[in-house]
Amino acid sequence: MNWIDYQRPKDVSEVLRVLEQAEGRGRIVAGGTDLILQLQQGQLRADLLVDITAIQELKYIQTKDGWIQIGAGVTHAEVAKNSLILKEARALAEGCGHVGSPQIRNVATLVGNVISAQPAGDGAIPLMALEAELKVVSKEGARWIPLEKAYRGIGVSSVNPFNELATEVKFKKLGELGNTRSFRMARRRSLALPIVNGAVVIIFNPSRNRIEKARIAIGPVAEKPFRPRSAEAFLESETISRKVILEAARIASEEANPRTTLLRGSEYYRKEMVKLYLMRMVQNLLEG
Amino acid sequence: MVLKSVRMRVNGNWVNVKIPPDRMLLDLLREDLSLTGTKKGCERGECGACTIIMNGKTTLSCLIPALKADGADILTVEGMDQRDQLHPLQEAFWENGAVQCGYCTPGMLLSAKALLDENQEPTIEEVKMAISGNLCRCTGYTKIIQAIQVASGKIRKKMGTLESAEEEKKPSDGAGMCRGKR
Amino acid sequence: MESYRIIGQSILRLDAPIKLKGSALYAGDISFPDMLHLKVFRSDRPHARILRIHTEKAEALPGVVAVFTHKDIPGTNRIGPHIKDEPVLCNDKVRYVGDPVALVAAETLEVAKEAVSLIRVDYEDLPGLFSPEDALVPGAVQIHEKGNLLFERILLKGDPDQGLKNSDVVITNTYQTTMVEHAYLEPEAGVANLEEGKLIVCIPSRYPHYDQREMSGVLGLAPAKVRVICTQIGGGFGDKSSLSAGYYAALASFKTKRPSKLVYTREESFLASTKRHPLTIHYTSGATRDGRIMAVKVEIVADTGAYSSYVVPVLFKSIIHAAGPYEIPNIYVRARVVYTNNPIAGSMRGFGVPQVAIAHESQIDILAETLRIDPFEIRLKNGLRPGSVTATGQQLDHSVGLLETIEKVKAEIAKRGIPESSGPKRYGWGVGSMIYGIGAMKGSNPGVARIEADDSGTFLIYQGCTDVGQGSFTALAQIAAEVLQCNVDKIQMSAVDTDHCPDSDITAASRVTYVEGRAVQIAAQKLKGLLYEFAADMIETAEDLNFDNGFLYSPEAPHRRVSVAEVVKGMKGKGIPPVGEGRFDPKVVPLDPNTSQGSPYSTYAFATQGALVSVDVESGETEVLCVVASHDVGKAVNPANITGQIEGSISMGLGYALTEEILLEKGVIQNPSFSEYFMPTALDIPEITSSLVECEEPLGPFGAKGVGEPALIPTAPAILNAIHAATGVRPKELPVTSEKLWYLLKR
Repeated sequence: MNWIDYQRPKDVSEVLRVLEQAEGRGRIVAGGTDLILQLQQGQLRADLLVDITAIQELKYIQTKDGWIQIGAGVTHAEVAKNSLILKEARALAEGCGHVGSPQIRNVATLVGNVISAQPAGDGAIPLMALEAELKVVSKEGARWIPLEKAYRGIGVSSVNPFNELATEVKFKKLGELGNTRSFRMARRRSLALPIVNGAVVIIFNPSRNRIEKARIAIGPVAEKPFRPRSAEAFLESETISRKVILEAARIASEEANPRTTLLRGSEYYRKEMVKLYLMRMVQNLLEG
Repeated sequence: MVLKSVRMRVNGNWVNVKIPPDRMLLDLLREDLSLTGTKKGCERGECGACTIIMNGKTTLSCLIPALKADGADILTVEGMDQRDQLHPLQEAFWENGAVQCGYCTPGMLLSAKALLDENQEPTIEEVKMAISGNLCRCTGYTKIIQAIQVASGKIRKKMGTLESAEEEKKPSDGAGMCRGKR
Repeated sequence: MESYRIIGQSILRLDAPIKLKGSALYAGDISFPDMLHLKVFRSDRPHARILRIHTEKAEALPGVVAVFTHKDIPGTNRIGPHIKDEPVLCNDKVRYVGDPVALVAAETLEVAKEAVSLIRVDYEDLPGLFSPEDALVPGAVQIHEKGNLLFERILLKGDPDQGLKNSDVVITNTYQTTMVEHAYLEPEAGVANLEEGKLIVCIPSRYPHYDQREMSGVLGLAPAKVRVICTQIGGGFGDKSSLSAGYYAALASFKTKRPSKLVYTREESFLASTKRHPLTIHYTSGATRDGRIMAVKVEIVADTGAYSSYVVPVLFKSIIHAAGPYEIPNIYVRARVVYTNNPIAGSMRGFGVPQVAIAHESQIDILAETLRIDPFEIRLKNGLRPGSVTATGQQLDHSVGLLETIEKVKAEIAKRGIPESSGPKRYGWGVGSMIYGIGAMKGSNPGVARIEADDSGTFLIYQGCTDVGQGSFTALAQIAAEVLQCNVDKIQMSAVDTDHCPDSDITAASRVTYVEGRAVQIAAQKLKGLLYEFAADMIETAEDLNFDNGFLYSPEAPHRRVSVAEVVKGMKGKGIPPVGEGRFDPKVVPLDPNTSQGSPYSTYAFATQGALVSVDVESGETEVLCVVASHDVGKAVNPANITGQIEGSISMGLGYALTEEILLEKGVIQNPSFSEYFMPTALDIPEITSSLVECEEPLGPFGAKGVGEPALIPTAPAILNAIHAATGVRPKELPVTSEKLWYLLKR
């Protein structure tokens, strides 16, 4: 028996009640496209699955006080075609549009992509570049954590699925001068995990010809979506030029730490591709 | 082992089934309801052969716990034809040679139907995107894409939204990519 | 050219409606009451002696009905289409990761899975050999008793060394192809049941009569006691023709006397199904200054994995075709086949020729470049034509459409032009041509068919070749309908059932339209003759009759007519069976054992494809934008089905060239899933234009030859040549991943 019971609470307080009653044997599930396989293969165990996708109050994409807020019940498909996201955070729409396949995107949630804690989560990567925050609710109350802190290790979230529920992810609007881009390199154009993927968020001041703020997230080059902070700092430090962009990309590729694997390729090549694609994305963003 | 009750509307009919709690929707359809039209290709959500439409969206039934589908509206390939008349998509697939071994066909039909339900006049890229989660090893996708475009014309004609001058959409020759400069 | 009513029409496929409605039954869809669920316990190591198999814990699990090992096999425990070296359940050794060791039969699938996890084996690990080089080292551990070199075969025509001396340029290169997966969407499955003392086995099979023989041998039964019924097949591409789920279902049913069902998981299918042979091809070509190829010398080494499967005919085919579709006076080919502890390599679409085509098409392109001759011109110059002598010394006289296919592709490419380079993107067109012998490589492989007319005027065809999805049933029905001057809806194809259908040999080698189609044509003609004779009697005329739409009538007096149904009733009344039988065995001349000279096939298919690629030279990423294909099919029985085969093959060829590979580490498949084995999706395919050249084959039904495998062969060679045209570098190893190409470009 892969699980013994399966419930679909109607609101968040019921979720917490059910989890408490289960005394650690109940586990949160949203879309389930990762979790179900892990349970079936015996990599994880749970007696009770608590499915949060029937909770209407978690299905929202909205803006409030300069933040964009996305509820835990929102699927990748919904994010990918949402006009607010396309306008304010294009890279996030693009990233979500690359998860798995259309059928997976209809069911898998964006917050779930963060909780599954994979280094190259196509929804999580742009969120990392957007410096998103995650709202985590438990019977003790609610807390906000920066996205980076949501990762404890590969496939291990710092959100405890047995007694906590992530209900929302939010990020600040970028403003007039802000822009985003995503990139992805894979062996085929659907149903393929990336060889390298990433997102770039840039606030560019044309009058000073400087990048005021650069945030970059890259995967899978570390245990979690990776922020090459030296590269970011370098981009912000000089007036922008082709040479600067190239150097920043080189710095990022040095900071990144992909491992050679049969499936994804050699470390050397993947670092070179980080450099190449990052350079192209920043260039593209500034020209566009 | 405690069986659980689950209720859902499958191809227009409400059904009530008692199942082990970890039964997947794909097995419920194939074993408990004897609807073997939905196929098992990998059981890992990687091939699309098990695609159904659940609450209006394409979904991989091999990854949906049956209990997750409690109260849901489900459409399988068996629900596509109407009283012995083929759905325009089924007709178009047949007429355009889009069926070879047939194993991917049910999943393809449902992905195509979901597309045309939302977008009556998809571009080639939109058609390819809609079936990008359905693997096919026999056809190379070309005639499937053609069939979906032809079906969109059939549907628009039926609904009277087809421009009379346009006529039923002819399969595109798709030569755009290849016309290069000499 | 003759015009036909039905031949040449893209008649809608007969089997499509049930597939579209979801009512087609594949083996995995079939269930019986009181049925047992099976699971195979497989080896987790590549090479080991079996000391002891512990099944006690599994047997004790509630719900387990039986656990079988080699001890339980009543008949022979060694099968194989050519050399019987493969165990159904391993007894002495395991030779690859996935080798089957035990079989669990349980009341439910869950119990069967759990029982498998309770089986333990005491192994004595042996050194593993993971490449032919390692396996050929003197003193290396022997995987099979007779040694690791399974066989060696030579083809010799003329005097190759002298031919090279007479050449103005000589080029030598080594090509390495990769192991790839069939990746049909339907995983292997089999259901068996005992009915009135007879074992019924329902399986997707490319050759039910072979499975019947093999299975009955395993069970120690007379073949008549085993009935094999072929279910709908969800893709074959060469496999579903060797040890598979059905054998285990048969064993379990036979032993337990209950219905049994086994469906492979996708991962199990990756492990246990056979693969395409990876070949190392060392190729030397010599040509004169004006582009005439004088000699080729080729060394081929094949990794066949743990068991022989179809390697013997695959290697025969590869040496016969190694020189390509060219008239070359001096040829030497040596092929060696080596056992390793890698997964089993066997029969896969193209049967060795896709591999050698990579080599012969790259070589001729390099010659063209070296000699500054246009790639089309050099192919036209050397290409086979009527009157040419092949690599095996066979003179071709009819149905050689190669040159037309080259001209067609050349014209298509000229029409389309080439995009201009921009930024890091470079574009290039590449060409690949091919020859492919039609028919099984075993000498005699007769097609056999029987047609019966019934009381309703319907014609039922009983024949033994299965439809793997390529549309053979429709093509055969069209052939019969053309002869019998009726519509296709008057033809019914019997499911292939060993109880009712004659042995028509294998659905393979692209032989069904040509060989079986001819047998169907002959059977239909014979039946037609019988109907005419009887009808003429009934109408009381000595005239030749016309036969149209179910009626036979005298042309002089068309009102005097009689329906097929009436004729059949009359014949049956007089004790004359309304049956026609046909048999066609293409004439071949067996190959000389030392030189492989002879006439191995009675007809050949030819084709050329052109591919347009764009390469991002900074990342190595290649995209195939367009493929133009021209295929000589003899006579196109059903053009839409043929172009469907071509399009499907191009997709497979694209994957073969760029993205597909079985990644092995010490014999363990690292990517046994659809998420890590990259066959093309709908977003990856190019625009395709196909044209059919019809150089009629007089021996084929209405001139038809075959296309199923030929469609695949030119694609990857054309893509590789296109990459060279775009970038100036020449990949010689498959697949050409972005990383591999990037490294080549860096050098």
